[in-house]
Amino acid sequence: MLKSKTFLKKTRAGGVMKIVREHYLRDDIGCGAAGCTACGGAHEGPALEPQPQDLASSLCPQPHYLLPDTNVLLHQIVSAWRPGTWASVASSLRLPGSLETYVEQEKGENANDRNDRAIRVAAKWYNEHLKKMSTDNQLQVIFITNDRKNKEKAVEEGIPAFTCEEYIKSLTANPELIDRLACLSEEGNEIESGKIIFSEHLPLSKLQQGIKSGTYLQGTFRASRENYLEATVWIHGDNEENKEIILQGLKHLNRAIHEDIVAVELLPKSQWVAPSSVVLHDEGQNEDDVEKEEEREQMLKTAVSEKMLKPTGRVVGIIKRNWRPYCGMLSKSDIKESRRHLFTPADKRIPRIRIETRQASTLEGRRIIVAIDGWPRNSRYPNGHFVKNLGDVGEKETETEVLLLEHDVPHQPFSQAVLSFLPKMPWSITEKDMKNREDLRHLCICSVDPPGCTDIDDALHCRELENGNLEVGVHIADVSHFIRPGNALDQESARRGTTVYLCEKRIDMVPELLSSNLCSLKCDVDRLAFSCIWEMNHSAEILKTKFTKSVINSKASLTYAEAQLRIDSANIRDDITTSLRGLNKLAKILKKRRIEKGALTLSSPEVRFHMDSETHDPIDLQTKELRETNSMVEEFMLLANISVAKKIHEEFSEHALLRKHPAPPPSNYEILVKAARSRNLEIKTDTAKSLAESLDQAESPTFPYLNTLLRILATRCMMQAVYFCSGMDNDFHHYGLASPIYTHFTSPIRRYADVIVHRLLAVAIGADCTYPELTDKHKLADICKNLNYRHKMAQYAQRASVAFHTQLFFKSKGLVSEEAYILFVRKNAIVVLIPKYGLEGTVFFEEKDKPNPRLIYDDEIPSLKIEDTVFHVFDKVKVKIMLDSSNLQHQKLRMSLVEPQIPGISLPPDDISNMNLNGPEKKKMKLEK
Amino acid sequence: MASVALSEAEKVYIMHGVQEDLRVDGRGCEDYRCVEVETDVVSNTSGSARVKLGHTDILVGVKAEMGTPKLEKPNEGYLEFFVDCSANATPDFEGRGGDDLGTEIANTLYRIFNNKSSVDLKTLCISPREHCWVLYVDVLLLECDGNLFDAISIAVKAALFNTRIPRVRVLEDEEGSKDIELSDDPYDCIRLSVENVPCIVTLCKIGCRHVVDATLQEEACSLASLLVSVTSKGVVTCLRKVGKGSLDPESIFEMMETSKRVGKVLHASLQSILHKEESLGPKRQKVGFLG
Repeated sequence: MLKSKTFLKKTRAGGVMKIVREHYLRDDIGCGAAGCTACGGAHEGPALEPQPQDLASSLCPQPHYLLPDTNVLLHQIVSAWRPGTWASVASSLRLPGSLETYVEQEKGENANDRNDRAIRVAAKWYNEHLKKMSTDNQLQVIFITNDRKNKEKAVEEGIPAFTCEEYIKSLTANPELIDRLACLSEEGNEIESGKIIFSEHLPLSKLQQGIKSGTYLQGTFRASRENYLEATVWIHGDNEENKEIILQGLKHLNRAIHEDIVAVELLPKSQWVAPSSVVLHDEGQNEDDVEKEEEREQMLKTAVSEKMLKPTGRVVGIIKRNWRPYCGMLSKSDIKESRRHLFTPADKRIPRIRIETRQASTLEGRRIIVAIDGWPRNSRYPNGHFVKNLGDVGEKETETEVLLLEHDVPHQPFSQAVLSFLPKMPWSITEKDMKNREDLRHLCICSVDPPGCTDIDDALHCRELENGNLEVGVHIADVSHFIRPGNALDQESARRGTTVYLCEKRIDMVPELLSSNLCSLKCDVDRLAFSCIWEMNHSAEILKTKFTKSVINSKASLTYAEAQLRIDSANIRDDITTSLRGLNKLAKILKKRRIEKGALTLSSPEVRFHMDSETHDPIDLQTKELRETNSMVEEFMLLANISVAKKIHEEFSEHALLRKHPAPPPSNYEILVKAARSRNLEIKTDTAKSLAESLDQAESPTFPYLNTLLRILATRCMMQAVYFCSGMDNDFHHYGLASPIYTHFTSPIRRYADVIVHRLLAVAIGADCTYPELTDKHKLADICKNLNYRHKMAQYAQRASVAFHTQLFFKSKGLVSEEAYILFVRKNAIVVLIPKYGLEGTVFFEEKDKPNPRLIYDDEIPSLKIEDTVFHVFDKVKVKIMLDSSNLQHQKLRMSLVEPQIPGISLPPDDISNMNLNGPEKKKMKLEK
Repeated sequence: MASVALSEAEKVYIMHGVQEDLRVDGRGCEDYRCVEVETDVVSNTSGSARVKLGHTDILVGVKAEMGTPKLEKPNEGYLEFFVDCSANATPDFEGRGGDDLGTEIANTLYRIFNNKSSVDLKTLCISPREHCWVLYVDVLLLECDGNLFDAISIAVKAALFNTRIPRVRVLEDEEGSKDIELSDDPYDCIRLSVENVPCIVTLCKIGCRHVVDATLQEEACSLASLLVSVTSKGVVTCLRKVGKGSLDPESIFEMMETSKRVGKVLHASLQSILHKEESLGPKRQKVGFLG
């Protein structure tokens, strides 16, 4: 049956449009109950259980179905859903027997009322329908709503209705469900005295008006990690002034939570403040110590010169909440038997959340997930509810899960929909695949990778041509052949953006069948590839470049060490080795040329864990070794990336996906220059080339490690390289590689950017067809944004994983003293690097319960004088490493000074007896063992 | 204009009948044919009506759109008329064949609405000098069987009666920039008062008498006719003579008197039928084009 729905819409131009939608009401949606004859064959889709599970509800003893209303569904489905609890969610969404249950908006009724009425009509229909079905088996449909008026009306109409809370409480068999209820504060459910702490948020319409007129500014709220009373708001848009606004004090933060989109009002200049340098953590357990907060806020306001003042504002309203479930731990309430506890998120930027639970003692010491439900005006903390228990703190699986969740790394197994787009096994290359593809199976191609690598995405070859020139080929796995644009597999890999490598785990971007099998260029099997083939002369000048899709058959999968061995041993003369030698020779020339142009060779200490094969605990840890072959592979990958970047930019000047590395602002180099000067060395930073040269010359005969240290420091000065769409930017330069243009082409198995680049290149050479999204620069810019975000998060996750494994390692190892170099000098601490483990740590000289030593900090040199010892950057010290478990949630390695000896500060070299850092927690555990 | 070819004998037959106050279809000189009116027939307009007068079939849609008031009338909205002579009505209208007639009818409509009383244009103003409602009145001729003007004017009045203009509010912030806010409730809208909207009564001079609501055949017998737009109170708002013949002042006066008399009755019955239709509410079974 046809019904039309008419509504008015405001157009962007300011006009009003009347829109008519035709609704064709279906008459073939059944009730879903098994054995219902009235609905005939209309029983598609999810069905109701024939006999609802006997949930012992004291409110409704007979078997029943539940019909939750939309709000209950939205807010409680995550928390309270268990199979069998909500009998049929689907039926409430699709309104059974739509002819009878269709409801039209009436005069004087708003859209919400109409929806409420529609659900009531459906509930009534269900009850009558089920009654008709069988008389002896009395099934009931219970309507669950949290809306008081709706419930009253339902009861009036004779529908059994309860609020969600009433119903869940009545489930005598499942008391733990109550904890999971999202606590939506309603009247009578107020937790506090009713003292209003925060000012009201303005409604959205007012905010939009204010933003339009410029009275309010819209921006992203970023809480400070160091100080819970401070935050900054990054203003959207591109007005130069007031780009970053400081918010200070609980009231001005006004219940905004990290990442929310907020509207802020600028305060008059007289109230502007400077960002405080105090570290403040919210530690109060007490609920209503608001006065104390005010005291603390006063503390922040230190006297500062006018120049330091920054635009200051206050939050007037929230435009969009960006809440997600947060990981963290329970801080059990001091009061015994209390059911309200505070939850401390692992992310320090998130405020503590008040939750209600009866299982506090079981949750204590575990990592849990909590979701925020709301933040009433009179509450110091937001309210939330418990969602999930991840496991014990310190447990490897738990911690890995936590760091993946905290870094927003999508790590669920691939869905069925995604897997359905995988090629069917057994897979082989067909005639169709060979179209537009060159057969390069006869070439002597090999791959060189780190040991244990299963996702091989590049392979190389080199041979002499008849004219005496060399042919060099880089063959990249043809992932875009398997991942077709737009399908679920493509969408999922685009979302993941990158493969994340943790210390003992790999979170794949594409399903394993592709990453470790069909796309991996393993030896002695035919694989599809995308090849970039150059003709070069012996001085590595490119004479010709060719791109083609191809089929290859790798002759060997080597590790870097194996390849190195082949090149070095003079008596091996097979094809693969000659090929490798040719490549190596060319790579050396290429590298030299690149460095001449001003490419930087930077250094960062990379560590590798030796894992125990059974327990998977790290047993040893060493810095990664770099061989000639590493740089050989790298050189050709760079060359391929640059060639491809040129090609796709030539073909698609507006929508090529490229990668740029902006030059850092000169101020970034200050630390490096000062540090070098303290060693009587000069570092020039005006261009990349002079930087590279001065880094090369910065050698000290008595201090061989100095150069590496300088390079590590230089790395810290750099900017982040990012993906971008060529049509949206005009600065393409890659600073670090000193290349005018660059992209990523060589690792499509683990980076989505490369997949897009493959597609662009395939279109450019006519090997594949294009699709609309590929040439839409805004879509491409969106992809870039996601990729940049994912890459950053992946990097953080990787670092967090290394940090965690380092902790595990030192936990098993006990106390160790190691040599270290000072990287930075701070006001009250020094940052040191231990080359043996590539480990960085901070040695603090101020401790809570100890008298502060005499510290003199000189920013110019920079140096720190403690009592009578002066510390400079790059000084060699000896430190003791131990695990600090005093904060269970954030266990960390702690370093203390051993050498040089400063009485009262550094530890005597072998005195372990007075170490009381591994809090009481640890001791207890030892006793239990 | 659509026309039929009649033989002399047929014309004489009709004229003699009129002389005797007895027309070919049995009506008297001041009788209308049966009129069928249905409103709200096109759902994506603000108001619409379909009128059938004999075989004459008219569809009118009113669309309210936001515009800026005319300079000389800063606090009034305005109406725009457009008449489309569909080739469905008669093959003569094919191509640009109906343009002249369309323009003529539209101009007539502009003239009869060109006074302060017919529609209160001030209610169409949203904010003076800046925003007002413009009502686009689109007339579609579906079939012609004489007396187009009367049928069109009835349809326009019915469509205006049916018109619902969404209520908007002008929000003004401190800086003086204005924004328009639309009401969420689809039932919250402005209605126009159609009390003073005139209807056209066309009087055809046949022989020495005149008839209202002439059929196509009767129009063929007439040399001159007078369009009189009359309001429900019997006020004449506009007068226009069409046809190549001439009319003497005596008969013009007579014709005006007739039109006032006929017009009042026409308005009264139209008004009552419109209210009756509306009282049926939204659940009314629509006839539309399938009936």
